[in-house]
Amino acid sequence: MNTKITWREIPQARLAMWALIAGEFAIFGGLIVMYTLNRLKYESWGEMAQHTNVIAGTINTLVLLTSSFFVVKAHEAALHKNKEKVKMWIWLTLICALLFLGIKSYEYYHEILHGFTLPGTQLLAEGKHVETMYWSFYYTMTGLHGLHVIGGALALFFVMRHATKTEKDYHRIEVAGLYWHMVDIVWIFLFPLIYLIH
Amino acid sequence: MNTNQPEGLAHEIAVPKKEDYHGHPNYLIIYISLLILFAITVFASLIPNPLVVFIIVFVISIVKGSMVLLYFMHLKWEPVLIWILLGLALMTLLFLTLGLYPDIVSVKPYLVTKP
Amino acid sequence: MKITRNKWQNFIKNNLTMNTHKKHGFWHRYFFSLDHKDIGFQYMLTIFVMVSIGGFFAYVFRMHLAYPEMEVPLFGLVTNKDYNMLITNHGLIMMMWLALGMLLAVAGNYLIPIMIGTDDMAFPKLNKLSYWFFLISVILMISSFFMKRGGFGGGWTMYPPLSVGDFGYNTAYTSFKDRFFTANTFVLLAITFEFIALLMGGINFFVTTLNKRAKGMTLTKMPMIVWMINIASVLFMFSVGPLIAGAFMLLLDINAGTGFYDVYRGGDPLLWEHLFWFFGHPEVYVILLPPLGIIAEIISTNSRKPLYGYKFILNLTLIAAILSMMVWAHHQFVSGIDPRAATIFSIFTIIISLPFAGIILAYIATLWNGDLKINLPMKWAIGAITLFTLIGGFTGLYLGASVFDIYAHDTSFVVAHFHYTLFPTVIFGSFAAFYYWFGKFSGRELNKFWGNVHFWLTFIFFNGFAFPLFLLGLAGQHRRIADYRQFEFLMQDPLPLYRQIATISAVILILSQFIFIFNFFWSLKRGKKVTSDNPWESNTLEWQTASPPPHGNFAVYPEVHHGPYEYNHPDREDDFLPQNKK
Repeated sequence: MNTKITWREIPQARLAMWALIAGEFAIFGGLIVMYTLNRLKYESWGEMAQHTNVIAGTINTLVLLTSSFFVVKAHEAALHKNKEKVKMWIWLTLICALLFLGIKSYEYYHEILHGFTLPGTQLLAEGKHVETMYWSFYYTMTGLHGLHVIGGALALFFVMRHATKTEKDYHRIEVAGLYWHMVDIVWIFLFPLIYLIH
Repeated sequence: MNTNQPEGLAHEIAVPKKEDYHGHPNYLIIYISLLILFAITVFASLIPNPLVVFIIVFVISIVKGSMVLLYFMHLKWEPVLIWILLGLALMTLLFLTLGLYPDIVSVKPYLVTKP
Repeated sequence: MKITRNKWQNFIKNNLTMNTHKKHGFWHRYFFSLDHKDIGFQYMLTIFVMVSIGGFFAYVFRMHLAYPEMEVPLFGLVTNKDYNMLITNHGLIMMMWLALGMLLAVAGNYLIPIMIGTDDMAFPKLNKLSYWFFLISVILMISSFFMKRGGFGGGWTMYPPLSVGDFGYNTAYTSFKDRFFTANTFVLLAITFEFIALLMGGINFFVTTLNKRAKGMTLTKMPMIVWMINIASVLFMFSVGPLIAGAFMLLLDINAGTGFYDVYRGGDPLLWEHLFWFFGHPEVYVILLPPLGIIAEIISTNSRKPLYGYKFILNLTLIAAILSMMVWAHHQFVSGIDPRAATIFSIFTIIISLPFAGIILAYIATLWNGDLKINLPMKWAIGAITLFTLIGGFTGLYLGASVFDIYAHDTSFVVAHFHYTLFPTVIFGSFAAFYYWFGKFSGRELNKFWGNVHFWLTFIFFNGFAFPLFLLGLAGQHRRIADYRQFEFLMQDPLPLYRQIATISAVILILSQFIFIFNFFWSLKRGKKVTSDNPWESNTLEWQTASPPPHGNFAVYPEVHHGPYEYNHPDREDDFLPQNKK
C-alpha cells in the first residue's frame, strides 16, 4: 500500500521514537561535528588513524549493516504476526549486536595494550600531545555508540519476548527497530571518519 | 493499538486501521546496495589525497544513511512532520558547524609548552 | 466474596496504581502517582526547595557585597571561596532547576492535557520516570555542596580550565575517588540527569499535544500557551544535544584525564564556551516562551478581547526560535572569537529583537481598548511585559552590539540586564500563573489581600535591587568579584550606596516571597473554597470542568467548536464563549 499517511495517523509510540531519534542525532551529530572539525585542523591525527584496526572496523560495519537488514525483516514478520520468524530475525540481530561488541572489545584491548588510551598518558610522555585528542574522541564516540548498541539490543530483546509471549504489541518491534537503525546510521558516519581517513 | 483515549470519545484523529502504512521496498536489494557503497568507501580510502578521501566517504555516508532512513526506517512513507523533525536536527548541526568552524579549523594550533 | 489483601497489596493498590479511588497514600501523592496534575505538584514542591536554596544564597552574597566586613546572619563570614560558590550555585539553581523546571515541567504537566481536553499525558509512566530523574538531579546537585573541597565555584557557566581542575598534570588529585567526588562532577551529573528528565518530558508533551487533542481542536484552536510550551520543548531538545556531548566531554576531562578543553593537547576552552552558549542562548528563549504563553492567556481573558494576531504571534515565535540558534556567540564577544563571526552574531542578535517586539505589540493590541480587569494575575502579567520589554529588552539591544558589549561584558550591567529579562518572565510569569490557576487546581482561593501585598512588594523591590546594578555596571563594577574594597574607584560615592540599596531591596524582595509561600500552603489547606468553576469567565477547557479537576480531568470529554479567544463577540450576549459551547 503506497498511500501517504498524514501526521494525524502516526501512532504515539512511533512519533515519540522519531522525536527521540532526532534528539539523538543532535547529540551524536554534535560529537561528530566537533571531531570532524578538529580532524580537519590536525593532520597529524591521520597518523593515529593508521593504528586503528581497519579490518575489525570493516567487519563491524558489515555486521551492523546486516543487523539493520535483519531487524527490518523482523518488522516485516511482525506485520504478519509471524511469531517464529520474528523470534528468528531478532535473535539474528542480537547475535550481530554481540558480535559487534565482541569485536569492539578486542579492538579496545589491543589499542590500550599499545598505549593508545583515553587520556593518552603514554602518548603525552612521548611528546605527541596533540594526537592524544584523537584517541580521546575515538573512545568517547565509539564508547557512547557502544552503550547505545547495548541499550538498543536490550530494548529489542524485551520487546521481542513480550510480543511473542503475549501475542500482542507487535508494533513495538518496529519502534525498537527504528532505534536500532539510528544506531546503525551513527556508525555509518563514525567508521569512515575515524578509521579511513589517513 | 492502544491510544489511551477515554472510552466513547469519537476522535478527529484517525487510528490507522492497518499498521502497514508503508510500501514494501525490496529490503534485500537495499541491503546489497549498502554493501556495494560500503565497498566503494573502503576502496576510496586508498586514494592518497586525504581531502578527496574525506569528501568521497562523507558523501557516500550521507547516501547510505539516507537509504537506511528512507527504506529501512520507512521515512519515505512517513508524513512531513517526521521530515521536519529530522530537518531541525540537521539545521542544528549546520548552525553548530558554521559557528565552530572559525574557531577550530581556521585557528593555527597553539604552540604551548607543557604546563 | 470479600477480597482480602495483605498490607503490601494494599500499599500497592493505594500508592502504585493510577486508581481513581479517593483514598491515596502519602507515597502515592508525593512519589508514585501517574496523574499529570500530581506530577506537576511534585515537580513544584521540589522546585520550591531548590529556589529557597538559590534565594538564600542570593541573600548571603548580596549582604556580603554591600557590607563586606559583616558576618552575614544565618551564614557567617563570607570568604572569597564561599562567595564564588554562592554566586555559581545561585545561577545554576535558578537557571537550570527553577526556570526550566517551573516553566516546562510544572506548567506543561499541569496545563497541557487539561487544556487540550484529554485525560492525561500520552505516556504517564514516562512522565513519572521524568520526575524521578529530576528528583535524582536535585539530590545530586545538593550533594555537590557537601563535597570535600566544597561546592562548585567556577561560575554557572562552568568554563574550563577552572571547572576541570588541572587536567591531571599535577599530582594534587590523582585518585579517581578524589576526582569523582568533587562538586564539579556532581554538578555535571546533576545537570545531565535533569536534561534527560526534560528531554523525556518534552517528547511526552509533544506527542500528547499532537495525538490527544479533543475532537474539534485543530492545532490553531489550541490556547497559545500549549503552542509555546511545545515550541520551547522542541527548541530545548535540539539545542541541548551538542551540550550533552560537550558536558560528557567535560566530565571525562575532570575524571578520565582527557584533554578536550586543554590547549596543550589541542583542545580549546573556547570549544566549551561555544557548546555551552549554543544551548545557553536558546535556553533563555525556552524559558521565555512559556511565560509569554501564560501572559497571552491572562491578558486575553482579562481584557475580554481575543488575543490579537494568533497566527502572527505563532509565526513570529517560530522565526524567533530558529533565529535563537544563530546568536549564541554574543556571550563570547570578548573571548577571542573570530571578529568577523562577532559581527555576524551581533547583527543576528539585533534582528532577533524584532519577532519579540512583534509579539509584545500584539499583546499591547490585545489590551488596547479592552474591558480591562486589573486583578492579580493581570497585575503580574502587565508588570512582566513592561519590565521585560522596556528595560530587559532594550538593554539587550545595547549588549547585542559587540562594540558596547566589549565595554559592558562581565560587568553588573549584564547582571542587571539578565535579571530584568529573567525575573519578570520567569518569576512574575510563574506568579501570574499561580494566582490565575491556583483556584482551579486546588479548589481553594489564594488570599487576595496578601496577594496584592506580595505583588507590590515584589515589583517595587525587584526594581530597587536590579536598577542600581545598571549604574554600577556602567561605572565599571565587574561581576563575580568577591571583594570590591580592592578597587578604589568602586568604593567612591555613590557606588557603595548603590550596592547597599540593591542589597536591602533584594533582602526585602526575598522576605516578601515568604508572604506568598505562607499564602500558598495556608490556602491549600484552609483557603476559602472557590465558588465558581470559572471565576475569570475564561474560554479555555480547564475552566469548563470541576475545581479541582478529577482524575481523568473531565466527567464528560469536551468537543471543541471554536478557538479559545472568543470574547465579546458583537452577536452574542455573554462576553465570553467557552471552547466546548457552540
